[in-house]
Amino acid sequence: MTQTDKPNWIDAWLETQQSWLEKWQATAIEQRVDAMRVGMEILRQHCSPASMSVEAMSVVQSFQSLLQSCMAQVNTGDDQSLLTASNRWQQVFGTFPLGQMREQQLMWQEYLNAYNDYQLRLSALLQSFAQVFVRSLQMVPDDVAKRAAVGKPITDVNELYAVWIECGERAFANIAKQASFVKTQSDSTNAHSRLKIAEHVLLEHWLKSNDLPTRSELNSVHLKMRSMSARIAKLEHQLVKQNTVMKAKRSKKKV
Amino acid sequence: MSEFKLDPEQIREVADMQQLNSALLKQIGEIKDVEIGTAPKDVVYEEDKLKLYRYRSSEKNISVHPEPFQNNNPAVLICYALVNRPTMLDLQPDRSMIRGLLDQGMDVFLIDWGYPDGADRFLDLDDYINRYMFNCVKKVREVRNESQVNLLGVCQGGTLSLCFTALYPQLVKNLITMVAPVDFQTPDDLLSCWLKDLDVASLVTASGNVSGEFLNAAFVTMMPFRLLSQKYMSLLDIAHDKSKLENFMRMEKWIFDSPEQPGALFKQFVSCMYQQNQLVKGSLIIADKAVKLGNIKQPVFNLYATEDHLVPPASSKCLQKYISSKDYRELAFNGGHIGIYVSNKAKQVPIEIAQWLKERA
Repeated sequence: MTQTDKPNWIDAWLETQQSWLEKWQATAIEQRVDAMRVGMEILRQHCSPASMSVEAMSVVQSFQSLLQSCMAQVNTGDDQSLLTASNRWQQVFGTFPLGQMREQQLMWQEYLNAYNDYQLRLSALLQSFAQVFVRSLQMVPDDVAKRAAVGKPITDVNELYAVWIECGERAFANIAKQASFVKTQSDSTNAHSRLKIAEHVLLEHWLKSNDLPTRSELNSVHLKMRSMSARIAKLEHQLVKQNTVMKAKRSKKKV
Repeated sequence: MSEFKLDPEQIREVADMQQLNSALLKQIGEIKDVEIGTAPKDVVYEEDKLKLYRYRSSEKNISVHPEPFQNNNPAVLICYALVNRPTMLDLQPDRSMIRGLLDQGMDVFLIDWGYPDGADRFLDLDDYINRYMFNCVKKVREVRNESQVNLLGVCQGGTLSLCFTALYPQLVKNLITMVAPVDFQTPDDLLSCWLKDLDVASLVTASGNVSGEFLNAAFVTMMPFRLLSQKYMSLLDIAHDKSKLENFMRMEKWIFDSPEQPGALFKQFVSCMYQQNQLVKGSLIIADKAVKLGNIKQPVFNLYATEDHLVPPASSKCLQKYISSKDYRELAFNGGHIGIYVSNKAKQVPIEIAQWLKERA
């Protein structure tokens, strides 16, 4: 059997996989917009009208309008709009924080910047995996043809699936050690760490304002306990040594 | 793209698959739990979350409590990795390295590091080697009334055992390393490649301890198609075989029983070993003491797996280059990182270890 006369169900299977991939890529783009939606939702919850002055409310409203315009731009989906949206985003979150809520504003700026950064880097990583997926599907027809050429044609879905897995692993092995993939992966993990750190800052602020213990406080207690345990162990060791010496001295005296 | 037409043969294939699916779901539903790590054992020492076990003799099944039992055969202290649990060494009665060693008459001790939590995030190599391992070795020496121990380090535990032996050569009679990374920057080491640009300090600041889920995600991503898809699809092939399904579940239970890594230890291990390769460069310092592999002069038995994708053979095989032992033996196991413990071929491994130790008793 050659590649041209392979059964039509193999084409159908490839077509199904491609269509799934397209949907998945559309979702990945949507995630960029989600970052902004989350930002807006957080802002809305945090700055409730009951706790704010009219001036502060007006600032928040103009901020929300800016965010909405960013989202509208991103929704158009083309590269130019994404770039413009990204610039607007930088404009909003790069503004020097002022006034009574300066510290809070700074924390939120850092958090939302970290969130946006992470989403961008995660999206790049997911794109890398999507490329592996695409490549794996592209490799299948060739492998099917090669098998047919040596008299081992694909006869059922299980065999086709095994071929695809093999192609997938080969496609992944090709990129797994490439500098660009390694960098994309590290960038995503490092961005996630920065996001978590920014999240901690917000959480600790909230915990302190409610007189609840924070992780930083627990860390300093645990560090203190660790150093005290080490000191106790050292003292116990010295005590055992001294007791041994004392015993030896006593037994000498008896003799 | 051609038109999609199903012929009766393909319809039957789909129907067969549906039947297999149903059978699989039924069997999985019937398996309530599977037990792992069932070889009888007693705790002989405890410190913080660590437990030191002594396994009961396979013949006598004697408890060490209340009176310690005498075993004149050689003892071996197993130092497992902090990644995953030591139950891998006793996954099921007929696939158990520990039972294999017991069957050879060995007196088997094992360090179980437990499940570190938030209070353990500042534990580092100093704590694990100079305190925990040192105290376990002390206990085994006391129980056995011997001045030295035979140490068997598994995977990351092998690296810890190398550090321990280099720091306390007088306490180790014979050293065995199994799939232990030594050179962390061999060209075929994918994990090392991925960790190169990781900001491990930020990771640990952000997460405290490093979760088992994080590590598992990294491990399965190394072979994503096989480990995230094919592995589970292959269950259909054993849908009607309860015994094989239970074996699969045991392995699954072990893989996804993943303790956290203490933050400080993880940071130190990734930074010093993977990113700077200090163990082979001779620049590793633990609590102001230099760890020099050249201090290892005792007999060494180094086992590695030829198909190991986590610790490539080259990473383990290089050990001989860095130590001063004149009595050095290597065993290349034809299999993978896990297969060395649980595959059918692995039954020979404890026999080889016991034989090697008895010759040096």
